[in-house]
Amino acid sequence: MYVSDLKREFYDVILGKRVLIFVNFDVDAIASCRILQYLLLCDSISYSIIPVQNQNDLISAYKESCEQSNHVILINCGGTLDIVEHLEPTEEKVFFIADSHRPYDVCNIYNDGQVCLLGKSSEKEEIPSYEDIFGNDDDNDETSDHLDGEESDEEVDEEGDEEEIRESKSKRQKLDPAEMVMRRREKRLWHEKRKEILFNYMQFSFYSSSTALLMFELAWKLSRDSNDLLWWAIIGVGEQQLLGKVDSKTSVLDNGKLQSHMIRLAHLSQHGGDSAGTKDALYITHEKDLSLSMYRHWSLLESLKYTPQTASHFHLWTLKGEKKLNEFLAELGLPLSQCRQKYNSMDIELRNDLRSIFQKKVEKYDLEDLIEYSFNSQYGFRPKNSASDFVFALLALLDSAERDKDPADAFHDALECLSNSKMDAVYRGIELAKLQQMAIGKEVHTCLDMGHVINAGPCLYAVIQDGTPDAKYYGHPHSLLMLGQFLLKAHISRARGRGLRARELPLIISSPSATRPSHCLLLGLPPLSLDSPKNLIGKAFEQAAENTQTEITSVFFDSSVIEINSEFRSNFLDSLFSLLE
Amino acid sequence: MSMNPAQVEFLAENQTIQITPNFSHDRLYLICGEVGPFRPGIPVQVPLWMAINLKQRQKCRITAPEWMTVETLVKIKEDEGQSKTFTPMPDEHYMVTTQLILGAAPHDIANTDEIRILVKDIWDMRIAKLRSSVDAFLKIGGSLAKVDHLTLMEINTVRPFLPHALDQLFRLRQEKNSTYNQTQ
Repeated sequence: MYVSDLKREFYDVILGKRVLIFVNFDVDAIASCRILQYLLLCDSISYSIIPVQNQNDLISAYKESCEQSNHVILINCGGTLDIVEHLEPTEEKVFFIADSHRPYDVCNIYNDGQVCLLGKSSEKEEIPSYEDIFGNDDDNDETSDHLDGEESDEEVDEEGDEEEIRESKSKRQKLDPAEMVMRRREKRLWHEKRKEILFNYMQFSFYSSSTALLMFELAWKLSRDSNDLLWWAIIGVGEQQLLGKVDSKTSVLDNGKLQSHMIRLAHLSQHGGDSAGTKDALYITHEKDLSLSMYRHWSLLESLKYTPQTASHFHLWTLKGEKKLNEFLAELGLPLSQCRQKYNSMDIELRNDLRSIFQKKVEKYDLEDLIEYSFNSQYGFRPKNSASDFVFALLALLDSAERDKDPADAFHDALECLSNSKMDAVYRGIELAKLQQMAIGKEVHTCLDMGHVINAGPCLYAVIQDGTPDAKYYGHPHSLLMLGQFLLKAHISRARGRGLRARELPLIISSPSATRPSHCLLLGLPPLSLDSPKNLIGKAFEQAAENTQTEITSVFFDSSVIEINSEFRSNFLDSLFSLLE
Repeated sequence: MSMNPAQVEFLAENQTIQITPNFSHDRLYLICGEVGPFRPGIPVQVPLWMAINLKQRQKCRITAPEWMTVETLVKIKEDEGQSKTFTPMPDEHYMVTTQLILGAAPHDIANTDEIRILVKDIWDMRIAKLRSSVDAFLKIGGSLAKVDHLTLMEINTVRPFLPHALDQLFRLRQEKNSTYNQTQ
């Protein structure tokens, strides 16, 4: 059931109790977890945080620690699972789910009291109504046993039961075979309709608004919000926009909300008329900025080379492309020697005017989306940082889990980045992120040169061979997502003529998994022309796995990524292609 | 034996300060006395350690002590600069209090940056005076000195050194006198 009054029905319930928090391995979840942690610390509520990567992790971790407390909070995990069925909790346990993955499992939505979904239900999710799925069982008599009534037995309406049994028992003597056949037919039709409704509902997997923003609004209602919490919420929202998980309408709405909070907090901290407050605190601004990856921590040239938009636009994997880029820089008036230097050592006049310099020429080169509004923060007199820098750093730290490094360590490294004003962890993350982006860029370069992207009819696919050096940088769901998006953009930008059809094809990309040596990750991306992040690849994966009897070793919470054993990959891909036709 | 800054801070935290809570609670009976009752919006006097803790949990607003304004501190700084001896300080633990309050509640106080600068200047002046007077004392070789209006934190900057140094000097003098007597 949905819980929209977060303070009364969620926070007041957990005051004074001990809670268990399961957190997914993504930046949005980490930001929400940090905000929630702050709130719990303020009220001295004891908690334990358990990071989980996929469904099996969640189930096993739950089994180990379920005795610790009766209240469980799930952040960005579990919304799409049937909790009651998978975790088999006892009666007193209460689950609070704050998940941005959609669609929610119908059993979670219609559960009464044990599973609470934080947030509101929205129109565009098109949740099927209760009667279509569960209700309408007026034949709870023995005729149901003859049919394959696996579904009806579970969702039986409790109160209607007894009366109907009595009724039907009396009716049974009067029923003749024709009526029974009619009834069976009706039931079958109802079941088919139900299957179709459920299939349409669960077909597309997508994301809704960020969980970090939800947690921030809870903090706001409790009057515990501050600039630090707002910055974490900005990072959570920023991740969704950077990885293209939400469409532009949602991101515009979210940005608007964040901006209004920012203005409100700025007014509050302005103490009195002319006293300027203190410099030694976090200041957040929303301004037009270059949307190049991490350009403040890199040299301008490298940042231009490894940002997907500019790289695909200039075709920077060819020599001609590099010449074009040099021309562009020359026209802007930026000397190459300056661009090759680290950003902080560039000439100060160039640095201050950078945005206006770019602004003049972006129209001519059709790079309009290079200049966008972004949130920047500055702590005291330290250098400015943009939200996307933090997102990159956190992603890189999360994905640094390898065979010999425990995932939980990676999680805690990333969580450390968000502690107040400690920048060492962030800088370490940014260095890792640079390496990651370089590896991704080089891999895209190789794939395009060697023609690894193959048009398989219903979709494009690319397979990254085992044993590629640097494969550890993108053997994780999120980095693979970045690689896939870059590759798709670059491939499409190269296509002309017949190849333009490629804009309407989804991309399936496979890469060796960094955590398990003999397994590979498969990711599906929707086609670029659709411009919407709704993804039906998840369902296709499931279906193909059933058809080929392949065991999916890791079911991630984002259904568009799965992990399977590399030996079964070719079989799996074949059945997947036949499905997609 | 001396006290390290953490211990001085601990003693300083016992001072009372005024806060405005945003929650409701009955009277609290603590070992050092009783505090409360707390009602939202009504100022109440609490020990400094409790005020800082409540502020970090966003449960109150701290009111600055009366001496923590730019004008008062500017006047104190001028007095200190002009007099040759130490002037009385508004608060026995002014340094500790400033650090704690400005660290935890920068937005509740006006002109925090200037206040920080002024307090640091006053501190520097007094420490410089203390050092030069210790220096002069050692040079004269006097045996008794009296200083007024020093705060605990300032005393503890010289505490391990000064008695130890005088001790050494005394021993050296003893040796000198005894060898003198012997050679006589």
